[in-house]
Amino acid sequence: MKERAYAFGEGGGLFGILTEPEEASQRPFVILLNAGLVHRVGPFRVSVDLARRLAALGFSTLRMDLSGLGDSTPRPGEPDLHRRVVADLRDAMDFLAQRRGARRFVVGGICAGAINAHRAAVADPRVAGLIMLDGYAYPTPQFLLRRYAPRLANPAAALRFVGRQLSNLVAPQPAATPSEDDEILSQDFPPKDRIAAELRQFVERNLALLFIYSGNWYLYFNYREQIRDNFPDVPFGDRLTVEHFPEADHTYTLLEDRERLFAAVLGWMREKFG
Amino acid sequence: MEATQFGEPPLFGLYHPATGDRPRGRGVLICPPIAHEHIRAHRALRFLSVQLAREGFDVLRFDYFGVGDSAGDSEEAQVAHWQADVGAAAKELRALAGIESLAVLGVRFGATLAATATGLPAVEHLVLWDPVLDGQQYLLRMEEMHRAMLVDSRSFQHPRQERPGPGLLGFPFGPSLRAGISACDLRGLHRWPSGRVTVVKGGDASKVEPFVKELRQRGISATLRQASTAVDWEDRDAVGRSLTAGDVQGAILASLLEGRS
Repeated sequence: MKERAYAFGEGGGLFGILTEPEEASQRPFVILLNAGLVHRVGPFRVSVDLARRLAALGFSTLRMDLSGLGDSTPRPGEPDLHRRVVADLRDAMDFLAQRRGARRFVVGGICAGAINAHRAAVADPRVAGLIMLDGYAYPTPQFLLRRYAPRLANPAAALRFVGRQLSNLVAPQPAATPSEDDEILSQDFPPKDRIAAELRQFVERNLALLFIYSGNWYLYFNYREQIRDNFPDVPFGDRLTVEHFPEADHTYTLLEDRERLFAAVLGWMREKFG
Repeated sequence: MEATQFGEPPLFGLYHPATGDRPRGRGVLICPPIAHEHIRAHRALRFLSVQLAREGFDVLRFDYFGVGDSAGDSEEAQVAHWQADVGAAAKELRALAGIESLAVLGVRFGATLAATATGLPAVEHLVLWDPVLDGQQYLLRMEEMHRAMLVDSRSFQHPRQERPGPGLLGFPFGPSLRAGISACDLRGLHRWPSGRVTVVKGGDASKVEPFVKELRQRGISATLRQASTAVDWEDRDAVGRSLTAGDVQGAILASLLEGRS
């Protein structure tokens, strides 16, 4: 395994570490994005560990800092966050194409990083796969049933819940501190119709999709079939793989949870691109 | 800023050569914290490095073996290895900048490592930001925070019964690493790498005052510099949060500039 730091993009303002297997291969290159403000090593060094394990399977991985994060400088002249992310990833793919002849890419991230990976896939046909950890999910009848059935089975809790809803109807209260229920409705995911159209585009392009959800995302996701139920008109076939780790937290803090996460990602990479 | 890799297995570093009009011919080696604190401090130490370079210092920040971007798995990390890494990084900075004069800034357990480093060339000034004085207490506090996290519904949907293992707040701390950390106690350290030590403490400084006094009694030129920004190092809720140095950054800069042209 070889690891080296690179500055790339306009003026060399973007920064990343490329982890490569000893022998070059034709497999797609993996690009791992920042989780929130955490620099390219990832929460608890998860991106470093994943990149090295991917190298052992023959995959090269770029752990990059998006502009303004980690050791990358802000991108001048582009105030729009979404366009900036797309431009950063285009620069990363151009760099790997020029330096290593890379033609196809798998882009992955956690939370905002997952949404950023999705945006890059929409904008760039070179993206062949997506790894989205705690990305978007939308309520379905089964989701709501699973979420609220335990309360309804408890008469006291059910009464409190109904009472709260009725009092809100009579005299809606300003949500100074939003409840969990409010958060379900207010999470700032992209509009579902737009995501549906983009997922259809992904299917037409034959992208491989790995969606992984932790227990921390229970306000948005609580059963494995939820994404297929969210988008019944998208003919995913076997292009979509969904994993659910309800016991894990958002950043896989526990070592045993992280091992399960790695096994899922590495197994999927081997199956789809090995 | 230039990336550098040095030693075998290679350590990763970022070198910020002096950018100001008046290069001082003086280096500052930054020894970061470890584990979750290492990730929390990255942004603040980057800003600090850029500012120090603007002030004419040649700056190297680096990752210890098994930490950050450096070689090695987190499981392989050892205190003795880290102490030697500080010495290797100091030599790398002197070679990169072509300088002899060196100050070392250590943060949290990085301060402990800087003070106990091996193979360190002469250090003119040692600056310790919120140093971990007692390794054993440091581990005990992390264990408390870890136990609290396992039953915190904001982290886990249901309280976790973790299999016995080395994990502490997301990083493996095996028996040998724990023993190495526990053995570190700056209050009992007799050989210091520099005759000049500044302790920079954010918030309440009462816990480090006796330590600074003790250093003075041993003939070390020790200074306590207080800042108002108290970093929430021991707050469980802040484990995954990037920290803000606030006026600590200015206090560190002032310490390094003090008495120098």
